[in-house]
This record gives sequence, C-alpha cells and structure tokens, in this order.
Amino acid sequence: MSGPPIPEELRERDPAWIRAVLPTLWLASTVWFRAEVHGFENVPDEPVLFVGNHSGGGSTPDTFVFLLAYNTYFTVEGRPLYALAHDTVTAAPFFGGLTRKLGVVPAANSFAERIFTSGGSALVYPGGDVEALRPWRDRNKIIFSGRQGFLRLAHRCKVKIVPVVATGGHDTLVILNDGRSTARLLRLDKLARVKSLPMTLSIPWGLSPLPLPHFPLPAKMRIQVLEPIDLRDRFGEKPDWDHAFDYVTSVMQVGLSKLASRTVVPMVR
Amino acid sequence: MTQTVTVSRHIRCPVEQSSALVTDPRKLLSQASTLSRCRFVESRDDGELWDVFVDSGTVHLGGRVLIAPPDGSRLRWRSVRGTPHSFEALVEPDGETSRLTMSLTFSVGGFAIAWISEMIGRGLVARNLEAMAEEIRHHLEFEE
Repeated sequence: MSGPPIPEELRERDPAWIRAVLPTLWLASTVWFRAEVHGFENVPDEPVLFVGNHSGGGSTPDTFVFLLAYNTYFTVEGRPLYALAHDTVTAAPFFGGLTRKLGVVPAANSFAERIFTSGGSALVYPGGDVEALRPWRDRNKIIFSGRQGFLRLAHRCKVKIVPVVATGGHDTLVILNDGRSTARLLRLDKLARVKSLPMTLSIPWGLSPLPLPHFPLPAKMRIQVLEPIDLRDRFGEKPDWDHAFDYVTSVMQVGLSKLASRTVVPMVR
Repeated sequence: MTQTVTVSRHIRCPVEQSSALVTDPRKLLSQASTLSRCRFVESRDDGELWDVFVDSGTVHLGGRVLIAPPDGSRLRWRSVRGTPHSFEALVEPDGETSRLTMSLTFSVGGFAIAWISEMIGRGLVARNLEAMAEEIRHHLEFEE
C-alpha cells in the first residue's frame, strides 16, 4: 500500500516478521482454537477504528486470531492494523518486542491519531483489563466500564467505528471473580493502572490471584466483524457521548449475544 | 425430565411500546434473528400456528407451535409438533420503563443421556433467549 510515510513510532511493525509467523498463528488458530472469523466484507476501504470485546485474561488469544485473520484477508502489505494495548504488554521483556513487531503499540491518543493520518487502522479494547479479567459467568457481556475515549477518538479523527465481537477467548481459562475490590485495596489502580486482580484457574498456574499470561485451553473461537458505525453521521458534530456510548455498546452486546448463541457446548463447539 | 430457562432484560422504553412488540408474533419473531424458519401457518379459534426453530448446527430444535391470543402484555405458545416445549414472554412496568422476562420450558425423554442432553440444551436455550432479549431491547431502545 502506498500512502503517507509511516511515523517513527509505528515503524516497529514488521511486515516480514508478520508474514513469517502467519503459518504458526494459522496452525494454532485452526487446530487448537478451531477459529472462525467472519464479516471482513463489512470493513470500508479507509482507515477505521476496530473496537473489540476483550477476553482471555492475561493472554487474550482472540486478539492474535483477529490479527492473523486481518493480515491474511487484507494482506500483510495492505492497510496496516495497529492494536492499542496497555503499557504492560508493549513494555514486557521479550513478549513486548514480539507484540510490537505484530503491530501492537501503547494505547495513547497520539499513537492512534498518527495511525489514522498515516493511512492505517487501529484496534482498541475499551474494556481493557477489567473486561479481559471479567468473571467467566460474564463471558458473553460487553463490559466497557463507561470508558468513552474511543468514541471521542473516532469522532475527532473522522474515522468510522467497526465493532468486532468474539467468543471463546474467555473459555481459555476460568476467572472466578472480577477482582476490582482487590485491585483497589492494593492501590494497583493508582500505581499501575491495573483495575482488576481476580482469582483465576489456568495452565500452568493453577489457582492464582495474578492474571499471568497462561497457556490457553483449546476453546472454540468465533469472531464476527459487524457493520461500521459512523458517529458523525448518526450523532452529529456534537454528540451526546453517553447516548453514543450506549448505542455502540448495545450494538456490540447484540452482536456478542448472537455470536454466543451459536455456541453449542462452551469450549467444545 | 423438564428444564425451564428464564431470561430477563430491563428495557428503557414504556411498557406499552414494549408490549406492542412482544405480544405480536409477527413483530417479535421478525426481531429474533437467532430463530430460523419462522413461518405463519394458519389461524385457528385457539390461536395461530407457526413454525419456529433454533438451528444449532447439528439439530434443529423447535417445530410447530400454537401461539395463544395475546393476554395483556403476555405472549405464550406451546409446541404441537417437534421438540416438546412451551414459551412465555411477559412485559411488566419497571418505573417508567419496562422489564421483559422470557421463559422456555422443555423436556427430553430418558435417563442419563437425556440428563446430559438437557444440560447442553439448557445452555443453548439460555444463550438463544439472551440473544433474542438483547435484539428486542436494542430495537425498542434505539431503532423504533
């Protein structure tokens, strides 16, 4: 894809490396997760803000399935996709470097704006750690905790929101509680922007109070890309942000619930 | 053995508006995209016959149902062919808004294997009712 030069902050994405890891990701996605990704035909040919529901604790395997699917559908040389992530992901030793090569960048507005002006698209998970660490019983719920920054970003940058809903990621471990009160008690919300510290049951950690990256159970994954939402078209130049937030989360909840209704047996099919 | 699955949703919409949609099978079934092959068959003295299915990929749950004439803000049906079940959707006032409650009761004949089937079916029914409730809620809150 030819277009504006890529800003320095975004140059760590490595198309050659992405191409090299695609077969491994494909194998894991297909054999381990029996993943299905549908709806890319809904994505307009312009920079967009993909907004997803975040699942799977510290590993979030569905993010990698989505990045694989995106980079094969639109090709590695096509419009680049950058995933905005918590600093702890991109700054992690070894793993952080690999994710940056895959196109993961710190979740900051300045990064996102440069992504759009350089012709790329961005992927955000507004629910962040709170949603990724929600209890297993809430696995089919959208939990954005009132975070509306993604709406203002899309509106300001004049890009459409493309909602992406996924099931299965939260079946790769078992999260027993939401752990928000524990995080508040330990002041982790203030010290490290960590809002949730639940009890989890995962491989290889067993029962653990720390949401460490785990080896995911072989859950069946389904991802659906929904139709784009043009905030300016629907809500005008000065949106009622609460109403826009309710609308987008409602659209995503319907999409997620419909996708979940295709689950016959959790984890298996 | 019999299982009953109940799902409720708060809907930010007056009860009259919610009831008008939920008690009209034509409107209700057109909003529930997780149901498949919904088709009006005929009117009878005791209600309307419809075909209603859930496609789970391997088996098709449902069949022909007799939908009773609307009773206030309640819609009810019972199966007359296919998977033995009954369904009820009730809209109640919740302040100036409304609350939708949907219940589906089904049974599977047999013992141990039937129990496993019922447990799997229970999850399947719950997820489908939740999807249906979310679609109805979204339609009433944002699309009407």
